[in-house]
Amino acid sequence: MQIYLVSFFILLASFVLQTTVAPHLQVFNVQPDLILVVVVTYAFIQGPIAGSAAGFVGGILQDLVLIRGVGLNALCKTIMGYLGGMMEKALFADNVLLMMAAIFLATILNQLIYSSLIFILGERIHLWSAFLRLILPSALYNAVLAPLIYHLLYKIVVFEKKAPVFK
Amino acid sequence: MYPEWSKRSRILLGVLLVLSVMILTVYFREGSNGILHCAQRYTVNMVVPLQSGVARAVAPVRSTFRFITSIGSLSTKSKKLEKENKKLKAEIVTLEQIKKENKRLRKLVGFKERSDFTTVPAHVIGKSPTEWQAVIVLDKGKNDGIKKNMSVVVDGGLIGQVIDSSPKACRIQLITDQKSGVGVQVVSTGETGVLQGQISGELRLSYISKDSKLKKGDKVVTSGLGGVFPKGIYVGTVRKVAKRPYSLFKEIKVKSLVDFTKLEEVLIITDPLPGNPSGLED
Repeated sequence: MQIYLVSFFILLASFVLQTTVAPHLQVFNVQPDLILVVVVTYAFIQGPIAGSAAGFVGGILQDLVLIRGVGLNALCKTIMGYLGGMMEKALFADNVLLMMAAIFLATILNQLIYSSLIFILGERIHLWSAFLRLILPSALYNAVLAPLIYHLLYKIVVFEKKAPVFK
Repeated sequence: MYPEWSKRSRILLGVLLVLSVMILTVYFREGSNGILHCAQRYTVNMVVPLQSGVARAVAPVRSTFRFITSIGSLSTKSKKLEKENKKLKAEIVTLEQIKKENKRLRKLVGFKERSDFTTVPAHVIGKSPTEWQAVIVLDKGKNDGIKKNMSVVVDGGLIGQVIDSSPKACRIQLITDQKSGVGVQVVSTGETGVLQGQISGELRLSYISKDSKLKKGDKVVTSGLGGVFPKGIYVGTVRKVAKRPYSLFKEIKVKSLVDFTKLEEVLIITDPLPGNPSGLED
């Protein structure tokens, strides 16, 4: 029970930071997606079940302050949480660069799913322009932040579960 | 054979995905007073004080950073402004003469003189937590008479419109947002079109005929059509005009004078729209 509460508060904290602090951390017009990084790194530690649940809750929270429609981020981040969880103990644990690469790819995939959904909902997207100006820089930004967030999460969650440690 | 947890995780994934799609469907089918829209408003209300606090805390750091980064370009900027100032002084004299003439002619034909807009100043206290939407939060809301659909301007021109208003804050959809559409008019040719935002932050002017005579540098103002934005607010200048083969319309890019990433103080136009007083919603 304690781990569920802790997990919820981690997501709530990342949501508050995303809505208050992240917009002020813009670099080249992109800001970090803290909720995504938290969901995926959390899934690395806890596996696909906890990962997809965290993705759903984190996505819903994010959707509640956006204007595009509640459920869009929930859908994307549920998938990312699940995929992150599938990589539990697999490839990232031994190498920090590999973990950063995983977050980099997770961000690109998340953004591509999101842009496809808003395209289906009727928005005109210039995918190449969006990829160069938005998706790629934010993937780099998230990848840079990933080790720090993983360390923090590891320290909080580790009392419940032994998480793999990267070198 | 897959382990038991793998099967359970896939079932959970399926359930959560179906749930997300159901929530999304409900969101688009319910009205603006539906449960999910209300939940959005409540969440924004809860977040506003935090956003405001953080915005206040980072303001001095941001100003210092901006000052430091602008030192190098100050001398060039100063020379440019001096030159512009001389040009503008000359323009003021001409405009004053035109204003007098305009007043006299309006009197002659019996037109009512257009008054200036009534505005409420507001501070930007929050920005969008994602780059996929261009939305800002202001520190004025229903308690200050702010209603949905009111236009928001800065000294460089139009920046957006109020999309929802709570007692102490309101959210503004910027004209650079992908879903934003502003009815505009090209001053030189009188043609009307729709100005749409793009992910890149650029503004695209649509529905201008391929035979149009408009050119780079032409001024673009709100047309007043559509009943949302008052007529005659400056929006930007035509930056690029291109013809597209097999298209009935020209491809036009418009440049606003506003730096949408550095908005701090804005003005909300509170006047009811002429001919559409009910266009403003609570």
